Amino acid sequence: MVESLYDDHGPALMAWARGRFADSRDAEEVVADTLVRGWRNHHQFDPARGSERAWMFGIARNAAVDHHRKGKRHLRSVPVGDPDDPEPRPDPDIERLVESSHVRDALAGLSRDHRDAVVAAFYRGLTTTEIAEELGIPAGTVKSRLHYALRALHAHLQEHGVLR
Amino acid sequence: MTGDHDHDHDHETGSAAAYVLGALEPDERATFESHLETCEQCRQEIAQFIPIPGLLARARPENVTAPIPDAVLETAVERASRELGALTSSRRRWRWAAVAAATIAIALTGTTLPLDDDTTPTGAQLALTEQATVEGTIHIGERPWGTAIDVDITDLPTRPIYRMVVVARDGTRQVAATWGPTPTGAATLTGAVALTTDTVDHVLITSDDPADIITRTT
Repeated sequence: MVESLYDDHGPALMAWARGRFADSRDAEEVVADTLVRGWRNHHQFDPARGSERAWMFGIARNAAVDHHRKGKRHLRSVPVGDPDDPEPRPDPDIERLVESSHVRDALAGLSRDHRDAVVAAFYRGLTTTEIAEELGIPAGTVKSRLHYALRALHAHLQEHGVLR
Repeated sequence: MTGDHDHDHDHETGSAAAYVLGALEPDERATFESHLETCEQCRQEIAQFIPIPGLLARARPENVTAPIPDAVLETAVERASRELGALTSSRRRWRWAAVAAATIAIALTGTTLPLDDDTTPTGAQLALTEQATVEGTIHIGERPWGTAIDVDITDLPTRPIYRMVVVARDGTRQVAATWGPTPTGAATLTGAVALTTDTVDHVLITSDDPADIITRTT
């Protein structure tokens, strides 16, 4: 059970926690804590109220607040929400968080070639010609990689209800 | 005709993807935009891909493939099994206590556990520490099989789980009961440990985090 929560949400939680805590040990601690809390309280998870991912992120935010309260001061920003409330509630921030976590999962699921092409084109702002020069491959190949990469991203995001 | 049109296609696979990602050269973009006016297939691809850049913008790609240290899963699994172990052994003690006392009702998840007159504890009332916000009494009673701890407290701060921990004089700890939050924050229950009463030093109520001591006896 802990293992399956880890498989399904570990990478997404870790990516989020790494963005939140300056010290990676804090991030790891919060993720481990989130997995245990998710395992312990899984009977409270109600699929009718949202995805398991969203529920886990609610727990993660509480775990982050608790961790911060324990005297760690590495938190980059103090998350909102009532840390005494053990029941995570739906929250627009969490929805965005969940969306972006699915996008990260989708990116991580691409082949290396496809992911590199998307990262170069979108995040680094390179044109297909520039990417082709950088990699020493034809521009047509770059375009083809982008095409299959976006198809795969679309399929993943559709599967997880982010896109219709 | 669509079939003929596909044959005439002057687009390369991936132009639509490159276009929505803003990765075409300016002259390619102009050519592609005029091509779009006559190409239904490319328009459909664009319609499919168009939400993706907005989503990509929300997800910074760093750490996408950074491996998670093994310690994260190991720590979580270890804590979960320890908790499971504590819960199981606490359940066992409850059962054993029930057999020994014969009249104790089992209510692990409930909040009350009435004791029969025959088993009314003959022990010491423990005082809660002054700084505790929790009010009530914790009473320890000698039993043939060990020690029963009667707890009747109110105003527990909300936690997902509570534990009654008995600390012996030699420093060892035993979980005497676990329970979940109650609507009123009150708890009336009896825990049990195999320790003899004279070896009990004090009793703690903690959350799942052993360091989170909600209240304790002096």
